[in-house]
Amino acid sequence: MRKVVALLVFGLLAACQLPLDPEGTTDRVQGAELVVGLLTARLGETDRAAVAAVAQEFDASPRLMNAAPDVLMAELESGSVHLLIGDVPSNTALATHAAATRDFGSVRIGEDSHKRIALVRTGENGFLKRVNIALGTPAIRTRAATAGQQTLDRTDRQDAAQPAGGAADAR
Amino acid sequence: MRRNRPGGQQMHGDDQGGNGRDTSHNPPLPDEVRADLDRASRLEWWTLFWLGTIVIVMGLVMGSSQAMKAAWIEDLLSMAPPAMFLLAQRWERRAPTRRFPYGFQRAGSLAFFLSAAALAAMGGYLVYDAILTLIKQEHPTISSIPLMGQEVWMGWIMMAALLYSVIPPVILGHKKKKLAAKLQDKVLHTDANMNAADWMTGLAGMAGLAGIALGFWWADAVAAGIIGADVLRDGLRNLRISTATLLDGAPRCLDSADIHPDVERIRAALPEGYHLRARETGRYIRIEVTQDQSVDPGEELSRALLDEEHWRLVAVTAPGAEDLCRAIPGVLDPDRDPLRGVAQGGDARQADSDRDG
Repeated sequence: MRKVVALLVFGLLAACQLPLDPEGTTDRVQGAELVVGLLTARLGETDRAAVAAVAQEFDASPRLMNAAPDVLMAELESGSVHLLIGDVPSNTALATHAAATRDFGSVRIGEDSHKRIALVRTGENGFLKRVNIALGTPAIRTRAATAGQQTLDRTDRQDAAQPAGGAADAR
Repeated sequence: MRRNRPGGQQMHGDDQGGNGRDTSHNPPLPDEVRADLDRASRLEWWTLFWLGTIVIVMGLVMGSSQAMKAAWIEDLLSMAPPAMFLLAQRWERRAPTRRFPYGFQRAGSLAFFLSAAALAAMGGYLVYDAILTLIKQEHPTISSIPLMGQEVWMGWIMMAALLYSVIPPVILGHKKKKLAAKLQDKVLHTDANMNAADWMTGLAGMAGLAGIALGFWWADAVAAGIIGADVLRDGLRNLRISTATLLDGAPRCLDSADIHPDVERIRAALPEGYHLRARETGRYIRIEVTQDQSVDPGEELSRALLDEEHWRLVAVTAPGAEDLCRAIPGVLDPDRDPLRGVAQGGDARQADSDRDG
């Protein structure tokens, strides 16, 4: 009986460490750099808070990257970008090539309001779970609820001046 | 030109067995068999209920796991055989009509064929989809949800759903397997086999999810491929058996395409010089015993009955050849029997059939 209990406890502890990433995104980001692709020229308050929360979860420094959406998608698929963010609605067409995170707040497109999400590389399930943990923290939920549609200027205005086709980093 | 064909409603009388009962309309069943049929029906209703709950649970947690999708589709398809069984059971007891003079006993065979075709098609699709995923190296994404204050990976919930999905079908499958053998019901047997083998599907699905958890992206597609191959194998085997039944093949064993030993038992019981042809209509066996192997009506009789379309008449069986000749104007040649070669008695409609049963 003891062995069974020990096995169960071991199994549960092991399960807490799972799932793993096939391409090792978590290992690359942990304690290092979180590369964030921006899909909007202006980063809203909620999205900014989300980036900060995710970076904190991995104890990583966020590096913002500005480029055209298709370039960012390609970078995400190759693993160069870890997170795509910026007024992404839950029904985004980009989700066919990327994995959606849990929702955090809402985004208004025209007359319609949609759940706000971010995107990560497909199949990186361990990374996605950690991102979801970060986006589920009470601070983010509260901020998302009160943020409304207010947007803030992007952290680095110089990035906005970069041509859309070229990837520009902003710290 | 519309013509009355020989056979038709008249065949009801021809089907009268030696004890005078009408064997074409609702063949009487022994009480024990009837009780087993009722029990099988109840089990099939339970199967539909449990599968319904499983399909809902699996559908809710399916996510984008291919193995889960394959298992879900298999569970969805598993509902076809019990539904077909219940429908066929209703239909096969219907009385013959003018349009369906032989009754509806083959409703079961048709149901069997349809469920086999559905299985084969879906199995083929699952295998194709799995291979495509492996070629394209698509990495399955399984998200997490907050549950009781914890972020829980959906893969664990999917595994729990898969575990639930194997328990009721496996229990019901073993119960139905025994009944299928008693009732000689191929739909029930197929259904029981699929249910009983459900644990393999569940295990493959769980292995695929465990593979994803350990970072092996290909594990999901491999598991889906294994499940698909199993579904395809079941479908093709059942298609083979059901096609033989629909083509008036000899009665087959429940679990293989081999001829049923009952055919040999009947043949062995016949006196020398008699020829036997046997076929299956649903769970029932129909045999034709002739002394002359030929049932060719001859051109003269065929022309008298069908004029230009005489070529369509390829087999005639009649209770009394001479009586029939006298009854048809212009056929009887006193010196020659136009019904030479016509089988005496029985229910023969096929000209080219397997003489060995």
